[in-house]
Amino acid sequence: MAGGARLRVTALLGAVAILVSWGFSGMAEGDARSRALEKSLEKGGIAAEDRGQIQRAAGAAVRAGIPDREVEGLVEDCVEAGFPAAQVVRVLSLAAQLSLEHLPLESFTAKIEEGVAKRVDPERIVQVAERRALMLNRAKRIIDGVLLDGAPVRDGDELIPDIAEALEAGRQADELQRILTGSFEEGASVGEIRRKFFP
Amino acid sequence: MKLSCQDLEPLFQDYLDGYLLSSQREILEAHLCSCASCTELLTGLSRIDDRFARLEPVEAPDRLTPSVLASLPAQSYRTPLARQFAQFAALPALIALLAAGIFFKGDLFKGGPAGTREVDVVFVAPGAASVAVVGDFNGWDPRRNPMVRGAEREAWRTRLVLPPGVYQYGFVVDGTVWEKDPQARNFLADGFGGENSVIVIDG
Repeated sequence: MAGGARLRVTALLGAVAILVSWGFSGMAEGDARSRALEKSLEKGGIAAEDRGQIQRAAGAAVRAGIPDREVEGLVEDCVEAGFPAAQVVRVLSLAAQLSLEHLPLESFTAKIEEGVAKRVDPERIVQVAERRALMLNRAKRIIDGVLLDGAPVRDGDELIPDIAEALEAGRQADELQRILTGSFEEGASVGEIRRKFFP
Repeated sequence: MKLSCQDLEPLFQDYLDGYLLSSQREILEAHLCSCASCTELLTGLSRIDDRFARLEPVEAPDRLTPSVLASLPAQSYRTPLARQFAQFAALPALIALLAAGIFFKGDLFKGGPAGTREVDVVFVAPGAASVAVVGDFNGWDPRRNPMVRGAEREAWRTRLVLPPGVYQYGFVVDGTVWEKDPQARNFLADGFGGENSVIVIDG
């Protein structure tokens, strides 16, 4: 075999080895997550049949791009706070949707953490978190609208949680869109725009 | 203990501005019902407020705030309400009342590490055994930012280092009582039947 061909075969084998080991490490991480989750679900007194549902929802959240540890943390928080299995699954599927739409997950999880810290009924926490998810989605649509109108949008994604909170506070989408359009056209910074939402 | 006009006078402006806690407001309003001189004084202050409200707003020069802050001794950075409560610290009737203030320390215009800002937090709670500041910056976890009782005894303090953003926050007193910051400029309903204070940290 000529030297060039040997080199190509070696490189190809190397690439295959890297892909296989990457695949195995991904599987190992998935297994580790499953085991860790199973342990906390068992500890939280979740029934075996419900544990399977939560595991599937957790897997979907990871596939939607949320890091393993964040998913584990979210499930642990919910289980420790006494969320029934159906509510844990709801939280995970909302988180997965947000992640798929590239919406800021922190704003959503912060609402759950707040409800848990204030010892609010889990069902109410999920309702409020669901509303936050909806507002984050609307906020993104507002930024998209401003962009489509031709305003020079900069760092629009950074403002999504703030717009969502302003919507929750009762500000109208049209009003926020006007503020954003005017601000971007004036060249206002993200900080200056935030001040307009919360003077 | 019955509070005198002199005890209550420092609360008048915050009463007009809507900054008093409901318990403070009740005490003051009960006093106003039976005190003609305080009612007259409050009416006068209210008229002054009205006149100020009718004036055209004037933009303050950029250097005004830093130059005023630079000329003040550190103690003066305490919030007006915190100062008022310091005067009442000895009064049993007001021991249970709480006042809070979140405010920038003197080096407001100096960035913290990696574009962050330092925020000094003060909460006045003379009778409290523990106070923690909680918010979406620390997962609403009272263990993350416990406050320390200051030398003045009635004030609890801590320092936060936060990146620019809008934050909702509150205080947890004695591990169970949730309080908002009456000095905050904005409040948002938390969705759980209460309200959070809001602070905007500029970049």
